[in-house]
Amino acid sequence: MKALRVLRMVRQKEQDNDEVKFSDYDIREAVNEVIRYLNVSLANKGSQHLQKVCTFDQNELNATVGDPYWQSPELYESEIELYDSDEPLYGVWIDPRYDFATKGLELPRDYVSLVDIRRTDGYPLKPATSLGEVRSPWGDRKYIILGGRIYVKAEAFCICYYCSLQEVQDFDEDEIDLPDIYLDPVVKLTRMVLNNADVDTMTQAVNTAVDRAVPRRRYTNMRQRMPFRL
Amino acid sequence: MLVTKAIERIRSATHDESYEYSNEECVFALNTAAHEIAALLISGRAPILAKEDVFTDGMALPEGFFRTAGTYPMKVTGQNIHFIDGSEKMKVRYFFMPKELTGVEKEAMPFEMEFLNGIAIKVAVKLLLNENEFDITQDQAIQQELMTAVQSGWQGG
Repeated sequence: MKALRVLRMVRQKEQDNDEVKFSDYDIREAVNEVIRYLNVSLANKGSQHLQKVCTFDQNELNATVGDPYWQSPELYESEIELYDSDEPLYGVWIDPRYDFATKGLELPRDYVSLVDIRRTDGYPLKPATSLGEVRSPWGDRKYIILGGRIYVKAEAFCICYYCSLQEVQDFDEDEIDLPDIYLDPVVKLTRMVLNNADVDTMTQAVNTAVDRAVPRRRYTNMRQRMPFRL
Repeated sequence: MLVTKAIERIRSATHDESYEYSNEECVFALNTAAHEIAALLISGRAPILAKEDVFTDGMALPEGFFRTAGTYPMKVTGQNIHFIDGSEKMKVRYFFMPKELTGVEKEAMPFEMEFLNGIAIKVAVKLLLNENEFDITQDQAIQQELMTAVQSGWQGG
């Protein structure tokens, strides 16, 4: 849904089309607070609204970064090529190129939890128990997530994950990644934030709104089935 | 309505045949009255006293600035504005107080709406009579009625 539509609806419901009661900044912060509440409420409920698929290709990413270079705190980059002294030059070798197996790839900022991961040739990857296992000769069937990075011994892979909603920065351009069924709840909850509803009331209201929109079959105390087999 | 006309009406309402209240006193009373009405309208967020300007970080407050319409990521220190989110410029909507009247020839009263100018005269009369310790109970009651009418008009009852 378009963020601008939310803004207009909030203003209309608050009888503030003259823009004298709330500033755009007020409403943006309130919408973002609602988005954060929704993220907490939707996380791990298995709502398909928040599933996202991304493909990462090491070669494509490498085409966007430069070549490796030597970085020294003593000299500027342009001066390093001209350095002709016999004294060893203190510095570090910077390699900006991607290597999914050794350096890993930073997880997307909106990553919450994993649904499925495959190589681009369709082979489903299985979780490894250590980074060494991924880097081993048999590691091309494994993946591991460590410290906010994912390590895969493949040049390209496709990941499906539960994402969190991104906050609104600009009402004119941004969209909230939720279907229109959430429009009225978002507007209503934003108005509650603007009118200083207390936290418990807000949490209850968010949970009620989310519970109505997420399919009932998703509610189960059973552990969510993992997309892979150990 | 012109300020000179308003002063004439003040004189007639106070039966001031001997020019006991000077023009300066009348203008001072009109200013106080106009600001009292403006404060009432701003408390009801009347859009006729709202303005929109582009503010830059570190600039002085614009003339007549009273308060912002809603909140903005900015802080006001003394007469200066500073943004707290690192922006250099920002479009801000704010409420302003009408300009001070000076009493010069052909100066207009602060409000476009004659009804509001009428109330300003009524308040000014009350203020002037109060200085002479006249009984202003009746004037006060009328002013209160008018103010309530204005308030319910803006805020929808």
